[in-house]
Amino acid sequence: MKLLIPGLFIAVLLVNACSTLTLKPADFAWPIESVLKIDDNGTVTEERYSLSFNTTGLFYEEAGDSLAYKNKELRIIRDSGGYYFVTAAAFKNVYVFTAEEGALKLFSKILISETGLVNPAFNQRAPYIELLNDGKSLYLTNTGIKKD
Amino acid sequence: MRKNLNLILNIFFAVLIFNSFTAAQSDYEIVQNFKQKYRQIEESIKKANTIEELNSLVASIDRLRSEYMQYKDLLDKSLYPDNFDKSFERLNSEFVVRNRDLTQVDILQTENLQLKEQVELLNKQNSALLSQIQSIEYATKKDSKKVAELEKLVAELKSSLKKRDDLIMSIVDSLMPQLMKKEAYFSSREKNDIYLKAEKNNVLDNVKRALQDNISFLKVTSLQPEDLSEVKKQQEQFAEFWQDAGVKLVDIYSAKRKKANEIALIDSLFTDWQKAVDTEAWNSIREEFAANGIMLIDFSNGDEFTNVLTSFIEEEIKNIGIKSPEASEETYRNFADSTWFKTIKPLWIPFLVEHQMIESEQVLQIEKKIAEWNMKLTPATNEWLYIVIAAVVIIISVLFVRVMKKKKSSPGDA
Repeated sequence: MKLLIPGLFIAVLLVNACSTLTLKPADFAWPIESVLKIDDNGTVTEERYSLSFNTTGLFYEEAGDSLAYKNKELRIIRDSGGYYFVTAAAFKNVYVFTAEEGALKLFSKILISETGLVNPAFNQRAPYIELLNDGKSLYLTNTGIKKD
Repeated sequence: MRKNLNLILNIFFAVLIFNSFTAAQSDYEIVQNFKQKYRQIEESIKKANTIEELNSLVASIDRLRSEYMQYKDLLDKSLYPDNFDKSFERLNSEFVVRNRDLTQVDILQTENLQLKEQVELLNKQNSALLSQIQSIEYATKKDSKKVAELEKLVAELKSSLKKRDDLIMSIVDSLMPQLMKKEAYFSSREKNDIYLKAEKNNVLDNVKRALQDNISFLKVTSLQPEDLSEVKKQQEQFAEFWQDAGVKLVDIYSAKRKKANEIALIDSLFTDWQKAVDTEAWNSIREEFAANGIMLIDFSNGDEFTNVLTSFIEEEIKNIGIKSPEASEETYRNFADSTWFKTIKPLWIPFLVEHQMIESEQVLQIEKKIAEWNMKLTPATNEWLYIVIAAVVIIISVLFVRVMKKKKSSPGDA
């Protein structure tokens, strides 16, 4: 018993020392999507949020052609949880990314239309992201389409 | 069949309308539309040329505000670093600034309109004065009452012309301050703007009229050197003004390919005006001699003046002995004492030399000739004196000899 109390005390201290500091709640939501022009190297730059990344991998994944980005615009929005939703006109999917060290890592790929999106647009509808496809609306989570 | 077709069409349109109401809208598109409309209003504010045009934008601003009020939250977040209210505050302040500028322009234009009216009034007044002076000039110059009236009218006209010329320059100053900037470069829009303003204010007509009136003024009046010096000063001012504004106006008008003749006419009128002052000076000098009975032939520059005067003197020298001495002396007195030394040398020669109308050497040449004339007249005068003195001496000597003889012949008597 004499040893148990100090042992428990030390264990509590150790657990506290090892746990990561977390600030809650946090909201990463962008009020509106950004529509970004892709430069000749396949890179997009979002000035307001100081975000920049290369899109060649995304186009290879979507169209099987890493040069398909030419003359295209990318639409991107971040939800309140911090996930990036990315798509473009004629894409079949919406890609959901998380921020990694120096990279965006694919979190999920949501199939929307086999024929490709027409006039796609994102709206911030926390906790969801609204996707407009040819004027029709879908609500997305970071894993898929929200079902009613 | 027709009924069915109508029914299908009605359903089709109903679906279309329903879709347009229910179709979801992109927030991005809403923000972009707002920004576009906002920019259009901003542009319209900048481009508004009148207060009426500007005021008509108040309704557009209000409409934009109420139209997008429902998206205020979205716009507050999206219009970073501004927000909905700040955007409208900025638009309002742009409106206020433009309104202030246009009000200023309005005031200037009103002032200008008043100036324009004054110029027109002075133009009429000057024409009336010019014709009045002309009629009195022709009537008589000997009537002292008329002469006094004439002098009064000339003074009135002189000040009226000066006033009008100053007003014309003010008009150009107030409407085209850019013209007064040295080495100013104008875009085609600015050129057009200045052209329209110049046309609206009859700038070319007024400048032309001013020059013509000034020339007429010189033609109908006989001015003294101090008056002419004033006119010369006026000409220098005008030359300065025309060098700045005129050259730029020429550029603007030639770009418009209009009224190039008028610009050329103004240039030639200015040259005429300059010549008219010189002519007026030479005529006045000739009149000074004529007033003292010395009739000279016309001269219009320093060389001619020197030649005419020296020729006249040479002729008079030749006439010594032919004309009666009294007549020769009278001509000399009228020429030299009453005209040259009394008015020409003290009043006109400084003016002529100052404005490079005569060389100092030429003045010296005339003076030498006058001295020579004087010398030629003087011996003639002395000759008579010597004769008289000789006669007196002879008479005294004869009387003295007779008296002495008488004294010698009568010693026995004593």
